[in-house]
Amino acid sequence: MEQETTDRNKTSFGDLPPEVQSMIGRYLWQHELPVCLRVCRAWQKIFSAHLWREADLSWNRKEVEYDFVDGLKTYGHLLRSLTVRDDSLFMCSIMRSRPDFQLTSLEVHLTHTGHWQPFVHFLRRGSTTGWRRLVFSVSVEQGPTYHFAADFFEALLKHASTLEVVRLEDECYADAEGIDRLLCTAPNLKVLYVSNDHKDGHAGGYLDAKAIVDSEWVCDNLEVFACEIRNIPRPDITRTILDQPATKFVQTGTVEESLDLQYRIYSKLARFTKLRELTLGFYYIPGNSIVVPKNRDHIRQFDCLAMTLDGGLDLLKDLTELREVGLQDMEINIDGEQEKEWFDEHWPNVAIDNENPDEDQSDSNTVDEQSSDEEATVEEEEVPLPPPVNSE
Amino acid sequence: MTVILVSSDNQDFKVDKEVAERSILIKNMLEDVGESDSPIPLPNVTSAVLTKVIEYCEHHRNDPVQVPEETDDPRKRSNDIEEWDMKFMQVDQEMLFEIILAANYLDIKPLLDVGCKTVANIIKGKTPEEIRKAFNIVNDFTPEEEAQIKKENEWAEDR
Repeated sequence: MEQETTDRNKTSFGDLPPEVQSMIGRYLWQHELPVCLRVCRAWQKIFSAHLWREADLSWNRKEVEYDFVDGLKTYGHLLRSLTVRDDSLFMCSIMRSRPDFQLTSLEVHLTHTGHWQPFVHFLRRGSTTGWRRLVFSVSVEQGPTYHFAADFFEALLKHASTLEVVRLEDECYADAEGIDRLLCTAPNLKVLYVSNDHKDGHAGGYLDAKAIVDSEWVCDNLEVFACEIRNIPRPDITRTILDQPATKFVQTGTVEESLDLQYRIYSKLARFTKLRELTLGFYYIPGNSIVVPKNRDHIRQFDCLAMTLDGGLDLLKDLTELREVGLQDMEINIDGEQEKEWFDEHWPNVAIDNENPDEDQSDSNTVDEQSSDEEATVEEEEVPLPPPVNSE
Repeated sequence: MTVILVSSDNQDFKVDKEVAERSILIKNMLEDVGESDSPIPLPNVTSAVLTKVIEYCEHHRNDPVQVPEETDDPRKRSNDIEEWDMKFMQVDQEMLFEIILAANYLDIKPLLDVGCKTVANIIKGKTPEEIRKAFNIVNDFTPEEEAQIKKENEWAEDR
């Protein structure tokens, strides 16, 4: 017996079953893997699957990118997740390197307004198996912001059946109809995040309440809904805004029209029973080229849901998974006696965010009155007035 | 209650049921046969390795059942081998791989985990040549091929 065991060849790494060899790769950081690929052919095969599953090229030196594209010829079929800066030339060469990418996740950091077309092309062709996660974060120092227009959404919607996460972050403009169509066609969508860029007033990246009331949204598994819903008449807002009558800023319409529209919007949101995050208003993120307005009315939503029980807020009581609610920059009334009770009763675990972080402690209504002189000077400077939304 | 495990070289090991059930394979076998005194043959495990494995299971007999979370990144845990396990794993390389094989066959996840971590820690910080030496692996690349692989994968090291 003893004889037999000692006579055998010594057990070595190569005797481990492939799934165990592969498991060892999971205990190594990505930067520790390239060395393993150079050990021998067998190791190259085992560890390239780990190394090439995810590639983040957003911090690399330019020179490295060409070797990366070279590597795609050998390892490109292993790639599932890619993160890049907005270098359209690089994107084009990635695209050309092989036609059979099986990417499921793409993250692009857009820092300058370049040619948008390669990215749309990449969306169309970059995944033979279907995109699941798409993140575009925009941070443009100068010039116009990125516009996720109809052609972007057309390419995106080709993957509607597989999409789980769509995030259009920071300073961007997204086609309202495109966002609505995404909600109507992506049954597996879990995260929809479309931030609104306040740089050009209220330029875009929101859903139009009137346009979506009859839409059939299909994404019942949505966990994060972050998108402004605008164009709602708010005759209840009567205070002076930026020293001018409210009618200059507020959507016109009767009280009945307003309440009816709000009720129908709440009904739509109420079907997202798995929602963890509901963000209808965003923090104001000042870009480099903008003066931060002292008066938040410059960037406030006056055509949003009022978040009152009169309007149908009660319809959202079944969103029991909800933990985070973002109501930044919205002209709302959640401090009413009834509403306070409602929030305590139905959303006891929800963190409601409706204070701008760098805003004064004092109430915005009174700030209006007191500091109007100061604001007038700001107004004359670079901050544009929000144009009435129906001018879109 | 005790059970009898039989190694590939026909040695009997009498162990507490609780200890033996650290192995999911054995636990399932015992559930399938019900109350029975018949010995459990383990044809893939030698007595030398089974001795080590039982030592591990004895020491960890009271550990709560590990439920690794999906989001748990194993890389973050590769350094946190507890002291006893570290000492336990100070064996020659052949025994290390034998233990990993046995843990895989017997389905003892925490032991498999410690084994893989130990191998990963041997790899860390070494050059390809040092790794080959450590694991007795023959280089089957030409120098040109190896240079090309280095180039193509540079992006992952470039931080």
